[in-house]
Amino acid sequence: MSARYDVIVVGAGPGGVACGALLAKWGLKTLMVDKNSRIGGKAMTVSKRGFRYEYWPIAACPATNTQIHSLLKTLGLENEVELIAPDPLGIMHYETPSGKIKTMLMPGGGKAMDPQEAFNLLGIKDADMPEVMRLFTDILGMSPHDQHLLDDVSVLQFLDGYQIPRSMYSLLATLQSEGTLEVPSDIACASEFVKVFQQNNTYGGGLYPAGGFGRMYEAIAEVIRANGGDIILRTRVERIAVENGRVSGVFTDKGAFYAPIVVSNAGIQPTVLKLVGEEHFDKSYVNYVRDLIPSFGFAGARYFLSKPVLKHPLYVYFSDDTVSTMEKHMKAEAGQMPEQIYVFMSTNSLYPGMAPPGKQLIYSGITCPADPRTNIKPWLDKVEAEIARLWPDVFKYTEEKEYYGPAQISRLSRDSVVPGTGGECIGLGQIAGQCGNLKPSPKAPVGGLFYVGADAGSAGFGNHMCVESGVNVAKMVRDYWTTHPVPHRAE
Amino acid sequence: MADKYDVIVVGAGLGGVVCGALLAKQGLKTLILDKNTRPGGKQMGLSVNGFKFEMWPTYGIPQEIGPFVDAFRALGIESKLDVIPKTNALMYRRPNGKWVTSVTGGHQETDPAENMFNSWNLKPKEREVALQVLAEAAVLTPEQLDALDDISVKEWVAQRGKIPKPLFGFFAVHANLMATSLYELVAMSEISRIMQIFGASTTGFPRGGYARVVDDILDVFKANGGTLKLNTRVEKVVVAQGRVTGVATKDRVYKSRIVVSNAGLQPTVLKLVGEEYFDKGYVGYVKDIVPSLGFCNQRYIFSKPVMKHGMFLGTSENSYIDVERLAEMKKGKIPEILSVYGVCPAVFDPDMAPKGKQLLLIGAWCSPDPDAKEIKAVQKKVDALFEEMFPEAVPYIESKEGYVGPAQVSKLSRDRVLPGVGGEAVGLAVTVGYCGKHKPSPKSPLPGLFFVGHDAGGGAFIGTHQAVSSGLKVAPLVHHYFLERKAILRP
Repeated sequence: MSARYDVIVVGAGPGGVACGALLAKWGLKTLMVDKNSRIGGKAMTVSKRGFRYEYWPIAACPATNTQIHSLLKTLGLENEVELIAPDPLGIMHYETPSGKIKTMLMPGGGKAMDPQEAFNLLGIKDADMPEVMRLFTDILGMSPHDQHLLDDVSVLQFLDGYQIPRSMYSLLATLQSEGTLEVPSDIACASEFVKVFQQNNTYGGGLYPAGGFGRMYEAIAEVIRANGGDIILRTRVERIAVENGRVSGVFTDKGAFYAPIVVSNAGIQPTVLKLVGEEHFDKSYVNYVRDLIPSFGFAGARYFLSKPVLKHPLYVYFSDDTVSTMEKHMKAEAGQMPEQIYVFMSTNSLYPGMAPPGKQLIYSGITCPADPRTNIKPWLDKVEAEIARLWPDVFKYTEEKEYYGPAQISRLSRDSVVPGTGGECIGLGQIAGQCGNLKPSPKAPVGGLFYVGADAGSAGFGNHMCVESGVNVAKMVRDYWTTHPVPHRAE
Repeated sequence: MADKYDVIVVGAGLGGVVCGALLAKQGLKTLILDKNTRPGGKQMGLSVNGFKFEMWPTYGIPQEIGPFVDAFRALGIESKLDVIPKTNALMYRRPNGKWVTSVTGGHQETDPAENMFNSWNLKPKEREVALQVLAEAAVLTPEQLDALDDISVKEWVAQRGKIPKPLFGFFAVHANLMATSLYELVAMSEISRIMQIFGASTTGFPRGGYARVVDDILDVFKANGGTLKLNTRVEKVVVAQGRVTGVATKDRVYKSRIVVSNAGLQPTVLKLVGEEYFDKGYVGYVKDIVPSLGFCNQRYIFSKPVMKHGMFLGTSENSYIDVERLAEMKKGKIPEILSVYGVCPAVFDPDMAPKGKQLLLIGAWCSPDPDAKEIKAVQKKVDALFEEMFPEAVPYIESKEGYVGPAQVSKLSRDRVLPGVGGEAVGLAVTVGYCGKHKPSPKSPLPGLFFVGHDAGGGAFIGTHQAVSSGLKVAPLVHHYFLERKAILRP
């Protein structure tokens, strides 16, 4: 083990490992440091009593032809990591205004949803079709240039430009904003919404790596070691060292490591405000970083069942009244939980080797504040009440359950450096005004410092966005490395 | 808690009231503060002896398109916008001193280019060239327009090679008239956008004057719970821990996490907030923006309705102000001919004057320096030109009053924070690097501080439009900012 590297990656989340693996493969001597005992950050996979699982529900979208596929190929791992695109993916439940629950099978395997089936589910009348089709055509045909015009427009603001039936409005404003971006639809960014919708419609959703996401990220991280780099776990980076306006390495609880380039996968706010320190940045940059808004948190439970209850990986429920807005969230925080909420259930136990025979692990969850101090009980109670109504079998066969919320997310991932944040389930909020062209630059204003992960460098849906950021940032770092006469190259 | 607001707008100019009204309509608790006794800023309405008028000649609201129509629609008062088109006199002084008039607007079906060429006395060959050049200026795709943000009118005209002298004068004059700056500095894109809007719409004057427009907007503001406080000068925008927390007047503090300043970019940054809260680079950028030209105006009262047309413009191929002439004017050398501009409100709306009488607002462009010594001489020149242009009206001039120049404008609108600045007719100039895609951002680098009005966020066309379009653009930005930070900025 050396003390001097070409690049140090702080954090082994999806973005960090993708970036670190590529840089190592391209010949940079790479060190990866993570405070946890496993690779994968918020997407790590753990084992318990014969179950293998992530701490919370994780799936990727799109399901085929993704950046994840091409990264595995670039790294020569396409045979080692099998990517599964389950078909069918699951069942969508829609409760009509009269209280009737209608269902529809969601296709998987890279196939798009059949619009006609969705229209039937939602009871779209012929008279409404022209406007619905106008919306779909606009979204699916939107060029990247036009998508950027929506960078500071919210999903609701965008949808309000169309006279579509309430059921369709709710489907889009519920599943396609809170359900994917983890922020309420009146602040969720319309350009992200359009991008995810396009991807979902072209390549399907529901990608899952055999053996778990953590297992895939472990395989990717191994590329660092295979190319002469090092990975040290259970090691907390306490400080990113800056000398003469540029980074020089990191201080950890296991000593100092030196490198002219540091790529932080620890979140832009913790990196600037804590790891590097405000004093190394201009006032306006510090203010800008402090003023960024993270995504919402997530609270839910893992149910260990004695008998499989779910046939497919994903079940979602929504109604005309499940559109989430800031106002609803504020009311929920004040103790007034909305009557109807968006609910989903998922399981990874259907994939090979993920559960003991005849058993099943099920996740449920709901978007909640990102503040690790939040008392999540009201949210959990509401979700469980809905599960009891919609899928009562879950409780019948529950042997054990474990709750999680923003406090657990924060412990596993980013430190809370701005009051009310830390337990965000994605990272930087994909909200109007901080996405697309308005997203923070992956290149920090301190020489040699880059950000990777959800906070900078790409767009889209969760894990896929992070991996894409890893690839994009790796290219930037490589260019930086080759064009800048960086000091102290590793021996 | 009466003094706590969701958002405070400093300044009740057109941009401020549009933004404030839209935010109040969205349910935000909004306060608008203005130092003057009447709202409207530089477009405030005055009434004296039965005459109603603005401080200076303002004209040119497109009837069918543009920000005024959009704003009234967004506020739900579309039917209240009553724009009256009337005939205009475009008067041209040939090199031999003879004035020729072509009448446009109203319901006349004549070709404006043809009329212009006749006034200019162009030969057939020259007409071909002129028509070609005008087409190149006005028939452009959005991408081509964007590219013209980076080129001045002077450079663009020079690239056209040899063009008829009156056509050169047309561009140089329009940089003064429409873009309120010098043709060496104004971006060509602004001139092109102005030509496009004039070409695509019928322009007019609002019934009841601009004061009525402001009142209609403020009615919506008040109906939605907004508070307007006049006679209240904001002394300071209060900043704590790197973000805005309210505003202070002489004797009290109004609290809000969001302040939208309609007081001008330079006065806001340099005086209301204070340089110490911004990075050096930003302060340098703000100080370096060139102000627009000033306008000096007076009112003629006629004992009889002598003015036939609602608006007139008197120009010649030499009536433009450029860098050199502005410097000469400062030394007291007034050019032989200046562009003269007048509006007679009662021609549009007879209720704007007592029966049988008329009021003409007439003036010319000048330096924005409140200390400018040459203003009297400019106004004398305007008087002389009026006598040349309208000899038949001279006997009926009952009185001349209401002399207004940069000193008075500055008192009414923006404070002087830099030498030679304060009396600009519209705000910061639309010069290369500061308009179109380079327009200063309405979101300041200080969290919670936004700019609205001519200086930031809007785009294209004459001053009042820039202000209203800014209000339309900034309101959703502020609304999102408010929603997004609701959870974090809890009081």
